[in-house]
Amino acid sequence: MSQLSKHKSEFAKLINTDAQDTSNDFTSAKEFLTQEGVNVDRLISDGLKRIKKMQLQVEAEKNRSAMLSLDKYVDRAKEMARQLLQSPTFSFLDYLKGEQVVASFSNLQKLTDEEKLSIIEKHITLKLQKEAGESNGF
Amino acid sequence: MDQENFDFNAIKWDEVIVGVETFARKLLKSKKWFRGDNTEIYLKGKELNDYVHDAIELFWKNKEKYNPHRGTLINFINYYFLRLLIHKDSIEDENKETKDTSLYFDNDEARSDYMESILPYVEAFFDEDVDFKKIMAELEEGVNHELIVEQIFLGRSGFGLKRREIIKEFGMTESEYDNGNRRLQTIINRITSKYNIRPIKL
Repeated sequence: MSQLSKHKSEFAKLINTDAQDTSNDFTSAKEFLTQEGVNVDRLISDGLKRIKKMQLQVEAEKNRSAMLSLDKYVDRAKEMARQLLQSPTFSFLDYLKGEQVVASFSNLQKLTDEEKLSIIEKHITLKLQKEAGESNGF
Repeated sequence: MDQENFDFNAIKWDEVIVGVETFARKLLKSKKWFRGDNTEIYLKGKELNDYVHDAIELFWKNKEKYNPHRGTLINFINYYFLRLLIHKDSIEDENKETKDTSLYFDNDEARSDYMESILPYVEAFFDEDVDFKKIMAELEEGVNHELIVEQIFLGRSGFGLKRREIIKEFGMTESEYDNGNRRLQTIINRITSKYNIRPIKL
């Protein structure tokens, strides 16, 4: 380190440690801000409102992206389910058995094609979500 | 606070607000020798307080990145605060010198704590043309009449020691430290106000 950098670094350390120390000591920090002419109670109350709003926005954003992500799985599941049903060799009962989907056999006999499609779509959606969750380390 | 138990209501937000605002003002707002003399209300088109809340939001969105072993939550948000300013500065059109921030953003994880990690960012705010050797020599001269003030000065500038470390290292009381620190601040302000330290462009 050059002499210039050394002195600059020492100066930065001097300023940084003071700013960090005061900022971590609630009482000293409040005293400092008061001396600066800041209304500390107001700073806190306005700040808490902003933080609460920020948290709600972050949560909303998270929910929105979860919804968008769910839509993505639903669309893919619909397409996959449609292709399955169109396959001439496809058997609904074999599919449920192969995928280990628990269902009452007597009810299955009465299902319409639309209802079968809906069951397959839901099953694939859940499967895709689970796979994505596992790959994300959840 | 355990990283695993990070929940919104467990954070003492009042302490965070006051702490980061203090850090911001200590470094920037009321110091003519720091970041030029045009930071009274706005800083690059935003109020200082807006940057404080931007940093808090950035932390909250990336809270898993906070590592309590590297420092307090306030240290971490202070670190984000300064990084935001540096980043904002680096993308300004008026900045003709360099937009390369890799020097400051690389190897963050390799540093031991946030106090240390923030130092390159703090240094980045000072112009290279300033005679820091002369400033430091004047400061040394200014503090050498009082042992405690001198010890605090040396602990900080030489080793970057924190309050409790200086108290322990030099065997002083908290009250002695606080009084000495106030006197040190007066000396720093008196000496640095003589120098017109301009901000550096990244």
